[in-house]
Amino acid sequence: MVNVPTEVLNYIWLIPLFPLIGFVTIGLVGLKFFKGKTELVPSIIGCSSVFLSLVMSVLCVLALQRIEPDHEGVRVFTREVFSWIEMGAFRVPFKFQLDALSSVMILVVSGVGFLIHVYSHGYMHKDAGQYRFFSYMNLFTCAMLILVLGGNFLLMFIGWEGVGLCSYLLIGFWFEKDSASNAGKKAFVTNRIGDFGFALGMMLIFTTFGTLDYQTVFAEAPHTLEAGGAIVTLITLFLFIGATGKSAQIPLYVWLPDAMEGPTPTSALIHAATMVTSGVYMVSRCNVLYSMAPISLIVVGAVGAATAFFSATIGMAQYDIKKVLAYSTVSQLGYMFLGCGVASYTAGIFHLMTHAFFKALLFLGAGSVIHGMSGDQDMRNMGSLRHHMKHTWWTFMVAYVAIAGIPPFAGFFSKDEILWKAFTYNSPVLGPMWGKFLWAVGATAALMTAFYMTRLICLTFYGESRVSHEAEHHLHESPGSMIYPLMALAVLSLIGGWVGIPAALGGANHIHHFLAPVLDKAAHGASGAHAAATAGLAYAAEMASHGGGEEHSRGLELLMMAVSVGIAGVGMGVGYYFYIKNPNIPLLIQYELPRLHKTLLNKWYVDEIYNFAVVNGTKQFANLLCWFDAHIIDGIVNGTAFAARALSSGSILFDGGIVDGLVNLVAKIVEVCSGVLRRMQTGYVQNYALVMAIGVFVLLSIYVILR
Amino acid sequence: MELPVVDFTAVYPEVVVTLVGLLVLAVDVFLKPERKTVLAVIALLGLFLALLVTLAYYPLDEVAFSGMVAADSFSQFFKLIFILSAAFSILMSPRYLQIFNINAGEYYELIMFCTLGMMVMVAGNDLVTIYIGLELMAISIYLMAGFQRDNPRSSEASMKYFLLGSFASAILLYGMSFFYGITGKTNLEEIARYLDFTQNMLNTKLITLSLVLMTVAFAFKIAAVPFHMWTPDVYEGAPTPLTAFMSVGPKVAAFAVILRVYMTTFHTLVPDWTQLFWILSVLTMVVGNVIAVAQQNIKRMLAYSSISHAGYLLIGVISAGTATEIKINGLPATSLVSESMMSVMVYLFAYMFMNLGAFAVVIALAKAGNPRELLQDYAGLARRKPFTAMLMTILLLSLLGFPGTFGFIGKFYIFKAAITTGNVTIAVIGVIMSVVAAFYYIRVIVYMYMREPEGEILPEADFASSTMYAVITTTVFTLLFGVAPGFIIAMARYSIEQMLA
Repeated sequence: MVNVPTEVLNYIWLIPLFPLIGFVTIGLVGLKFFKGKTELVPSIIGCSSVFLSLVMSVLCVLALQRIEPDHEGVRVFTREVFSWIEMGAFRVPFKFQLDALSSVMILVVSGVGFLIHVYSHGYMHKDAGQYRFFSYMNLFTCAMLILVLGGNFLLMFIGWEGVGLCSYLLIGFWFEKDSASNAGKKAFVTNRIGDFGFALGMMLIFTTFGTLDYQTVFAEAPHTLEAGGAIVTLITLFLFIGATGKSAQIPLYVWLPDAMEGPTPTSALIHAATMVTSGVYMVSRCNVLYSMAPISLIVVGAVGAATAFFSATIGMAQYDIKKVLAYSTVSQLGYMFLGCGVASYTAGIFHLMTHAFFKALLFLGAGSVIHGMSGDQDMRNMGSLRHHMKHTWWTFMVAYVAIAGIPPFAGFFSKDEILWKAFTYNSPVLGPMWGKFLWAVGATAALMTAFYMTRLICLTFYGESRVSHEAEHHLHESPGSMIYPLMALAVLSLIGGWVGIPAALGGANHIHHFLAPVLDKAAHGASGAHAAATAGLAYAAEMASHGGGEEHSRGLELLMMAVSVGIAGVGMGVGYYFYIKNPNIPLLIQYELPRLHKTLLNKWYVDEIYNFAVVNGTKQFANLLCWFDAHIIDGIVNGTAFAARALSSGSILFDGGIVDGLVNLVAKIVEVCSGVLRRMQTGYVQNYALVMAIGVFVLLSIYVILR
Repeated sequence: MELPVVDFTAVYPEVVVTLVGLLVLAVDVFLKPERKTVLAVIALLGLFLALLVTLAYYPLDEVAFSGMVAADSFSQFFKLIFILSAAFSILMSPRYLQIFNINAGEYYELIMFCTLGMMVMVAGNDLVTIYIGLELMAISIYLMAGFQRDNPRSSEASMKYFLLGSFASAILLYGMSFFYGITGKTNLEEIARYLDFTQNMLNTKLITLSLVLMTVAFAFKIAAVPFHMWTPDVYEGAPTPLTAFMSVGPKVAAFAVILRVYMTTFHTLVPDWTQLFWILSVLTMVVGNVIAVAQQNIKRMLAYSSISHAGYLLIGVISAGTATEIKINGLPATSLVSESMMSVMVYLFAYMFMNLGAFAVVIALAKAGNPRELLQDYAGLARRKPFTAMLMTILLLSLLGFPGTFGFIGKFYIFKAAITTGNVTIAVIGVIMSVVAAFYYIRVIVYMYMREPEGEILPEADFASSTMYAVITTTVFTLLFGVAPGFIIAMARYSIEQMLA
């Protein structure tokens, strides 16, 4: 390993600062010079600022490996950049914390972020708002880095809100389109509901622990809180509401598919690779709390599994290439939460990482396809594109194999780890069958994933060309700046999973050992004698050992792997059979089961239900209030007004005589006083000196003579 | 008698300011009248150097020159304020001096020496050092107030300030000489030790007499009612950049000395001086705010507003005093003391930025032959100069104590300190008076945004670049520290802990 001096870590604040500088520069300079024009300068500033962040992140992560681990084996570096809020007991420093978990996150954010910035140069080169785009993207990168580097909940919340703002700005990037600005609003409002939960959780943490600092909260949690008690369950559930908003889980997932109205690089960076995973990051960061709250874990697992399943069903029936990928993202995020829900946070984070690679690649590939198709996103108008876009095709295929879960591609290892952990999970409340159930749902979702991805590939790159004559004329491969990031991501999608090859396959599972000190604190604590002494940790440790610590036979693990590969194969095979071999079957199903198809096509009518129940409900309530206002309140007001008029005519006499007299008297007094004061301010210096002398005399009299 | 040991490390910032002041004086001889701006550049560079030197030696904790000078982080904190306020005042000056035909190079030199005087004052660990610094500061200002020689009001201001200032100095010396007479010492630590040792054995009336006399003199410097009479006339008559400087520098210096002397030396006399300050504070807040309401001239309005700010600041001083008497579980409540003192220091830092900024806006709008200082001149300003109006709005809101600005942080800590130390009555009076203050601050905003100018609309002054830099910088800091004041607070806390230890 390269010997990076640990002093580098003292400059950790540079990581989010570079994109911030980029944002300010592009934003300010762009407004003056690049408005309505496309220039090289914004791209160069935008890409280089993220590149510098990437370099700094790599250096910091390497330097982190050289500092001494503490007694629990955790390598953690914290730095207070400045003290930010201090109000009595409420003290929040602007503090960065780098450990294994945030290392993985900053590398993913800055690395994938950099590739997507490069891609954006090609993708946005004709857009008049190019400078705006790059400044927002840089601001997003900055906020996301603060989110993952922050050393306390409030700093995470700053990043959390910052990425939400950037997401809103970028979804509504083409704000002159109604659908885009509506999608932006929808994302913002939906996220707001989640943020409310997050804020409640944060306040509850503060009232319980008196601080928001990660290290203090997590160190004190086993002592302060009763494991499985109401407070820890409430805290974790509130926080999880925040996660469902940001990470698009049931019931707050509805904004993510609409978010595809934004430019495709945005979809890749924000709505696939990084921002939407911040919920998973947050749950993993709070693993100590979640492991102490078995009820919350069940909720997390159930929501994750349900989301993975439902959005996969919806993904099977969509025709918009980006919509399919959006539902696939929701489904994969569900997987990550499923992993967290079985207390296997490392598996969740591992999947987060590999997913960032292959999903960014899928989106960027889709962007390349859309670019080539002159903006058309409907898969029914595509087909046989592999001849026209060779590089896009092969890179897309790599991502496809990765997401379907075929070894040795990245997705296989992470997905398989989640499924295996689920299969062997023994819930302290619901018993081992709960894990088996989650596994079954996850495996079914994996089957559907393989199917809908095959469908997407077949409709887009294979089969008959359904491209219109006009579009075919323009059909072209994308420029180099778009293709090279695709290739880089393709390589990552292939080898990205090799850091986590499980022991059953003879691998070392590096990522697990890298993350374990931070994420499986409870499990670690069990081996350490000191931790077992505290009741809370012991309980948590017992739980964690149910989760993954039990020794299952290697044979069983290999069998499960074979099963999941088999499932992926079946999904791919069925897809191939349906869309290449025998394209009539999907039509036949549509004809035979019209209701099912329509339900899936219309996304289980969730948007309609929400519209009816929530949006209309709110409107109805508003109308009710309006009616109440118009009839009851106004009635009271009018009645009062009438009474007042009657009274007032009676009191005019009183008013004129007595009240006016009083008011005039007060005015007179003020006038006299100000006259006296004005007369005191004569401008004559001798008078001033006299006043001073009198002042001295009076004070002296009070103090010396009277006392 | 031992000779003072020369220890220059303790006074490097003072040395830099002195040398640069002399350099300005020397270069002045060789410059034509229209090239005097060079002096401003030299002075600014010098102040920047002094700032760097101050920061480079932060934090110091030593007593130099045989106990005459205390070079501690407390004085360094205030030196930063003085250097910054001098720099901002110099930034505002060149254009103003030009349009009002004040072609004197001594102007910059005097600002430097005035700054030096204030720096000596806060570093004073001896009544004599404090007095020398105070006189150096005051004499420089007497001279500068009369710089606009063709304007009789300016000469009048200078004369008035000189006469009344001398009067106050005499009272101060009178008080100091009594202390010397009682204790036989001028060194603050030795006086404190003497007072501690001889508690209840001395003639308390004599001590109270000298305490009252000294307090009166400091009350004159911070323009507390009833020793405020000079303020409106002098502020109005003096050249505006100097008014800005004068409304910040001497007041901050006097508060620094009050904090040091009263908290470390007169801490045995707390019941006496807190009552004294209580009376002064209430009078100052009421009179300052009520009269400010009636003003039509912005400069005069800001003069009365600066009087009222002294009243709020005194609340913090009172809290610090009462906190020394509070015992929690039988132990002295040191955290309450330091929190109260911190509130005064943070408020002073905030006051420096926002008050200088507001004066700088007034200067930026001045035109040759027409200072444009009347409220009526601001009517409709938002339409003619939207950016300047926006900055002025932020600064006025900060003076008012609006959340999100540095002024709010200052007020918040002052009132919090008052309430935690049990001074609820004065806190309530302060809050009520802040509401009165809202009237005259917001009236300016109303004029700028919602009133149409009456009569003929005069063209606005051209863009005053260096003055606007001062406005922008102060506004940025007002907002920045309004959101993240932690740095200043930490610095203030540290210096107090060091001083009280």
